[in-house]
Amino acid sequence: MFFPSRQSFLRVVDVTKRFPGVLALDSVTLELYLSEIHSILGENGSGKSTLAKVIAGIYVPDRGYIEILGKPMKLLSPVDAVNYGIYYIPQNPNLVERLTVVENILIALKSYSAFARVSEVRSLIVEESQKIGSLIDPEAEVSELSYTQRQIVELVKASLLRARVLLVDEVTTYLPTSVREKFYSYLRKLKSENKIVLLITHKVSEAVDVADRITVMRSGRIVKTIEKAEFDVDYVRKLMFGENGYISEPPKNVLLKDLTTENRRAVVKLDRVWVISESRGYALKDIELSVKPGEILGVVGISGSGQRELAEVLVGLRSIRSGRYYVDGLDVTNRGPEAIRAAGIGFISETPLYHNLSGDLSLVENLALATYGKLFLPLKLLTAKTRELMEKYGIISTSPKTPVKVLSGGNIMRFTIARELEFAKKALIVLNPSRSLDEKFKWSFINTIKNISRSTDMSVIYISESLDEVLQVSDTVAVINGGRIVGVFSRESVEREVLEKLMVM
Amino acid sequence: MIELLDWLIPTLASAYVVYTLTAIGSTVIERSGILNLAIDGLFVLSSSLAYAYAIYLSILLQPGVLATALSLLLTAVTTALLYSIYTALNTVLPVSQGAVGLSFMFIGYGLGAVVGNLGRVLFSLFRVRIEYISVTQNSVVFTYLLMVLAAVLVYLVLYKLKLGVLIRAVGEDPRLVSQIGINVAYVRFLSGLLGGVLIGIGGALFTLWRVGGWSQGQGLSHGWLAYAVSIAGWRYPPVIALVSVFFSLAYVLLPYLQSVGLPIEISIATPYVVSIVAMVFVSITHRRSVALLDPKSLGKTFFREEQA
Ligand SMILES: Nc1ncnc2c1ncn2[C@@H]1O[C@H](COP(=O)(O)OP(=O)(O)OP(=O)(O)O)[C@@H](O)[C@H]1O
Ligand SMILES: [Mg+2]
Repeated sequence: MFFPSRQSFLRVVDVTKRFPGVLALDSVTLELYLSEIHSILGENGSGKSTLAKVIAGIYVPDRGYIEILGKPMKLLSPVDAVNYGIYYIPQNPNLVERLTVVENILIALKSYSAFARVSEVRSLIVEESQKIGSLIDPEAEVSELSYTQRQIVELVKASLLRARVLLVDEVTTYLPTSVREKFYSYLRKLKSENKIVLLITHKVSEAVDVADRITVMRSGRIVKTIEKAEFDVDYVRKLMFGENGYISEPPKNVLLKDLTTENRRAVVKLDRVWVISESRGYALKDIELSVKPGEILGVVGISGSGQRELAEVLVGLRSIRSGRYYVDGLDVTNRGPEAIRAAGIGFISETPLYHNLSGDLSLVENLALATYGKLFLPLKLLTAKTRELMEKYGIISTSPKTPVKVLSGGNIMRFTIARELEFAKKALIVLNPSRSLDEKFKWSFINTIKNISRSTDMSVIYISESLDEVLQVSDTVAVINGGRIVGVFSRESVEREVLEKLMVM
Repeated sequence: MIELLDWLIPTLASAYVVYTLTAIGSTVIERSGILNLAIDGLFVLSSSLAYAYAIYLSILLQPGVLATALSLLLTAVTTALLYSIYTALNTVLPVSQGAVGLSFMFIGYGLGAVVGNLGRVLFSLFRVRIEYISVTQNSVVFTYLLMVLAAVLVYLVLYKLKLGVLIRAVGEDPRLVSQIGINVAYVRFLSGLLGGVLIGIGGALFTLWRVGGWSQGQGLSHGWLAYAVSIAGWRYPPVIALVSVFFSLAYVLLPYLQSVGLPIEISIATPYVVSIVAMVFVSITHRRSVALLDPKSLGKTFFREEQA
């Protein structure tokens, strides 16, 4: 095909990047044209983030280089990249926790000198976040924000940067639909202004809907770059996972548990729980929840409605102002995380490196942390166990001794899931687990949870911003809004629309 | 009582100014994530530099306010340059900040002795008198106000200007900040300049005002005292300006305590004991505001790329 109008801006030339034991990028060559939205698709660990980081100058390739406007940049640094207008919005929001929203955005804006006042950008941020459709308090400290709110901060930042090349690494996964739509139209606007957008995702539908071209990656290599005319969901899936590697269907609704007849004591029970918020007022208000053995309770709500806080209360990381918390009838109110873990309650967090894992420690050590309280560790045994888990959950890591922080986003999540499924005996608290998982793994995870809860009577509290997932997994659905539980329904008896209304009410 | 106050207020003023400025300077540096282990050495060096500059300028121009003021200025500039090298080196070198810090400390001690003795030699050749600073009873209140002003100014820079936000950001998470295209070494270089100016003025005033002369080993351990003030003040300028009053008081009252019969050993130990107690107290207090927490990456070696 011949495209007379295409103008190349940036080329990735034969780039290879090796991490100890992993070939993250293997002779990757890619050309980006002005005025295109180019999607990179690939399963967990296929090298998408690494590619973006090379383009942004964060990683120096072992071989090959980046060429900008025909000029080879052998040692591209992030400072150079930014000077060329290349900005990277990372997979996990890259914000300084202890600074406020304004401060985080201000430091990224080159157009303000060192003597600019912080107050100058405040109104700009309010304005921009209104445009995106989700108001963010510019004075809020980042550590108080939910994951999605942080992503929105990144989006606001991105739209103030005046980027020429915007690299967007899986930030759209959990955004409320309205925000996501607005963000897409912002990306289209960039395109119409002759800019380049590199949209990294593992959602095939997203790529097909938004992109002009799609490049599919697998194990560090480019499988193929396809033009809009060739877009077809099934075809793309095959490119992504190989001919037969894909489970295309979400799990069939395995029998719902009949909870009405079971008159057993609640495994987890919150009794009129109130929790203070860092910023103002209460983060959780008068929460009543109870979960029976083997029950899967989905708690759904839009970002910032108290889900993170709820999860933190359930695992003992946040103190309860008033009300009681019982595990198996035992009062564990404000007894701290140890007591709750000791009761056999596992936790899969949306931010594993913050809540679950120690990034500098290896997989084996992290496994030991969670499962062994003894002074001396049976290292051999643990290493074997880690290998087994890596095999079972398809975790890509050089070795069991690799520090966790160097794994890809999805692999970190997989490892967390593996470990907590291994650990949890009584109940599992799950907070937005699927954000960084590719579709294939996501469905198999949901399947696994269902099977375990059916076969072992383990209870699950599945807290998520994704209504689809909650509907897939739950026996009972609760909606959380503004820190309150505004409705509890059994899965069979409720319409999707009802839940949607309650979520945004 | 009145007499005691008459003596105390001006005596206290010089100590207060020296420790407050030096502590605030050290704060600016540590907020950028650089452990200021060099402080005592560079404080000794700047107090010696002030003496040598003052002698030299008094010979060159003539003894007077101008020579003194210029030597103050030159000391501030020299210290600022040294500190900016210190902070930048600490960022680019992949070695521990402890090693760099202690090296600079000893270099400071050594150079301080050399520079001070150089001043001595010049003095014995030319016999000039330095016009030392003295503050009259009437204007002493003014110096306190000036310190409040300094604390407020540095506070504004750190918390209300982009420069300060950058400094605090690299103190929190330098790798993250470098990934958004900011030159961490450059930001720390700037924090070294700013902090260094303040420490330089502190060191210079120690010689030109508080002591009014120079002797071997001058300034030794006073850098550490200022460091303690900075930590006890939660590395937060307004609090430092307050806490510094008590430190300076403890220090100034020493000779007085001796005169009423306290054994000299105990009285000499007093400020250090006060420092240790204050620092322990600070480290166990619960700080509600994040602005008061220690910078997260303080003292950590900076690697740009994720290490496997
Ligand atoms: N800094 C690093 N050190 C060591 N290995 C790394 C590092 N960064 C990435 N890797 C490895 O390189 C491979 C590709 O990782 P990358 O993060 O690019 O994957 P990805 O396609 O973004 O996956 P995901 O969808 O899970 O985010 C993975 O196997 C990962 O473990
Ligand atoms: Mg990734």
